Amino acid sequence: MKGNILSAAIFGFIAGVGVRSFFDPLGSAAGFFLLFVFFALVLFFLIPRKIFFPAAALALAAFSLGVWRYEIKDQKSVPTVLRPRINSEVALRGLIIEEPDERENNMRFVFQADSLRQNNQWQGIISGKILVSTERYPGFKYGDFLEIKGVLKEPKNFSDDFDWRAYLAKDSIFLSMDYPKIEKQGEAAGPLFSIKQKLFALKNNFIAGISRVLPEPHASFLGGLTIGARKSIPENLREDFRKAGVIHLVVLSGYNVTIIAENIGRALAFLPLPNFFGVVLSVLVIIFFAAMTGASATIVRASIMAIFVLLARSTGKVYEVTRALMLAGFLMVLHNPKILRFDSSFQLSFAATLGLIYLAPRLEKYFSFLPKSFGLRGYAAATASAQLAVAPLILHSIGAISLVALPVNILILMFVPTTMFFGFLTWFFGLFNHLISLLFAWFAWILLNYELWVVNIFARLSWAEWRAPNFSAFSAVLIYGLLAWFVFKPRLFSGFFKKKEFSPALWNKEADEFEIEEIE
Amino acid sequence: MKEKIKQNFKWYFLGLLLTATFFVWYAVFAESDQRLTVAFLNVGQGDAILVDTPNNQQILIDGGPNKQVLAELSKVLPFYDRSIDVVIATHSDQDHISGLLDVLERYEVDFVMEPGVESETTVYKEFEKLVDEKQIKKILARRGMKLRLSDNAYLLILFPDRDVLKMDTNDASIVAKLVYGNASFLFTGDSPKKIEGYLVSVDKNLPAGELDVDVLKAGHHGSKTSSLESFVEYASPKYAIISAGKNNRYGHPHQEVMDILAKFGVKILRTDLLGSIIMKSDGENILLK
Repeated sequence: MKGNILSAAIFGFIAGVGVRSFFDPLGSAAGFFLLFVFFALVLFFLIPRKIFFPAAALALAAFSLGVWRYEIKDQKSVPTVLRPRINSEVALRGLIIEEPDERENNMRFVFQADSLRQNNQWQGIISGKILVSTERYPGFKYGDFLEIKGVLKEPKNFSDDFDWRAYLAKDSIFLSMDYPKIEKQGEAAGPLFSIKQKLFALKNNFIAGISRVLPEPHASFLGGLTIGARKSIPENLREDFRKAGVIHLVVLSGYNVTIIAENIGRALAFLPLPNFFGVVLSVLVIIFFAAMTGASATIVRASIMAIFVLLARSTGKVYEVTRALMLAGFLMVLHNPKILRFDSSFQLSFAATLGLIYLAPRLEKYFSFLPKSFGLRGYAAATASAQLAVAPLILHSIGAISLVALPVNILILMFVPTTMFFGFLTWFFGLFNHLISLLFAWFAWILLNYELWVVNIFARLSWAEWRAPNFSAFSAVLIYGLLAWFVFKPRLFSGFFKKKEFSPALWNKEADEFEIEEIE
Repeated sequence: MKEKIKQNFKWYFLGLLLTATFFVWYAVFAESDQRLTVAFLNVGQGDAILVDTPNNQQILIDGGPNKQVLAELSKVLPFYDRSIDVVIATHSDQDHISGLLDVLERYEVDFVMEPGVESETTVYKEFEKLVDEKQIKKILARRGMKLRLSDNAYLLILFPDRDVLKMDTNDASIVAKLVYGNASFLFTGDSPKKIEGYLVSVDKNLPAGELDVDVLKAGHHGSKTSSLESFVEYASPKYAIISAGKNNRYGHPHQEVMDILAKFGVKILRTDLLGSIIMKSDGENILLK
């Protein structure tokens, strides 16, 4: 009963944020009112009669709060000190507050200014973030204190199908500066900076270590795979990864964490460890991964969700875990309401997580033609469910989807944990001896070569990718509706929030299959 | 589990030996090629040429605009090979030396050859800094210098023939000729028409012409600012290589250049269409791989 009411409140809040993300009430008050009525009707059908009034009242109240929360976030814009200086040259001093994104031919970083040069003297200002693009050399790093001089601009959308401005605005970035004059003044101090700097240094040490013995693009691929290294792999190879449906392996995204965590969990299941240790180890690996990548909001979110999947699996308490997942999602949206619409990484990791929890057990039976050895069937079910769960989103946001994703993922993911393992050995022994490192690099190289070969073969197929440039949001929602129906069809209309109708799925570690229990 | 490992130990051991054997044969195979290899690497809009001599020495001429050169290098070099004997930076422009920074980071390089032009660009400064840091020997390329590669193979520098400190970076490009027996290649960096004309005039006064080659890397990515008609005629190559990026924003190679090359019956090979172009020679013939 309590749980139902809580669910109703969360649902109401998220719906409020969601509706407000798409419609501005000041723009069309009438339309907004209609949506409100529609939402009330949805509630009417979803909430069991017994608790209808308290739950509906709470959901509607939460709905308003969601709208309000979004409104507060949306008020933020260009800091007032800098507003009159847009499109003119300014000199600023400040810090690089996130790890720079190193591209093939340039580099981008988020800069937070703390002072502005006015009338030949520096004045402290409260400034927002500025996205700075610059040459790849001389190269800057997280925590660098810089003096930059260039023309302040408001970011512009460079294509019709991607709202770049809104994407940056969700992280409160409203300004940009292209190729300014940069002078490094020093480095930031403080515990937070130094911890993060040390983690990045460790990561760079890892990349340097594997790069010494592994060729390209193998080294970059391994770096992306094992510690989410952001250093780019060649553009044409990246394109191949996208076509083959495994771009999540090398692009740092929430989805990537979910998939990798899932596979680490499966690989660890083969070790003769008690279940408990397996879970603890997996959780530690995920936390380590998140820390290494710089613990950006995206990765923290994805890591939390990945941990939920692990917990759902090991405890078998799918229902509780789902509710915890919903709660986590709620807190994330509360923290930054804009992610709900503008952060595809959040959407993808959320969808993939739900897919792994709910779809995987339902899909398992369709893979009974695959042998259970090497966990093949499990990989197939997990991959298919995650892919299926993100497909409509990807189609809508990117306009193309890989048709070979399933076989490619199965062929590659099976070897990913082993590859990571040899990668770590290569790095570790490289700290002491070049030759031993080279020995392990040889094994890693064989595996990486195989994986790149699979990507290459499948990306070459003319039908590897299905393009649907005008895939509408409506179609995506429709497909999600169908998926939900597929998962919950037994008693969909008897009440969404009723505990009874969930069929928790347990992953039986011994048999490596999902067991579906019907709780009546 | 322990029991299982014990039981399967001989299989693991066998697997290890098998992999080791494979590794050894891979290395033997990789080192056994006695021919000269010249690979015009596909690095997008830029130049990068790897020369692998019959004695397995490696010379890298330019490194392209970014780290793509690393991926291309690893396709022609065995995976464990992390040394390049000579790196030649024909001039200091970004599309020729930016990738060399990545090469210097990852590979052991014995010495670097450059024309010695003054350049204020960050990438050139970083390049110089890295060469100093790694204590790599630096040589200024001057006409007449000869790198002996084996009994009958050498690399000869044709330009610059003077101090080029204040010269325009393209004008100062290193021009070098690679000879193996009867096969010869000419690498011209971004050398413009006036330098090409100058080289022809110098060569005409020599008893034995040096500019007659089999393969010409067309200057400046096939731009109309290079490939002077009289120069192409004089060099009379069988093949011309154009190292340019697919749909590059400069419109390289220019039609004028294509027409000139066609006029003299030169076979044109383009990296933007073919990807990396790999040529092998036994000292007599040149084979396209």
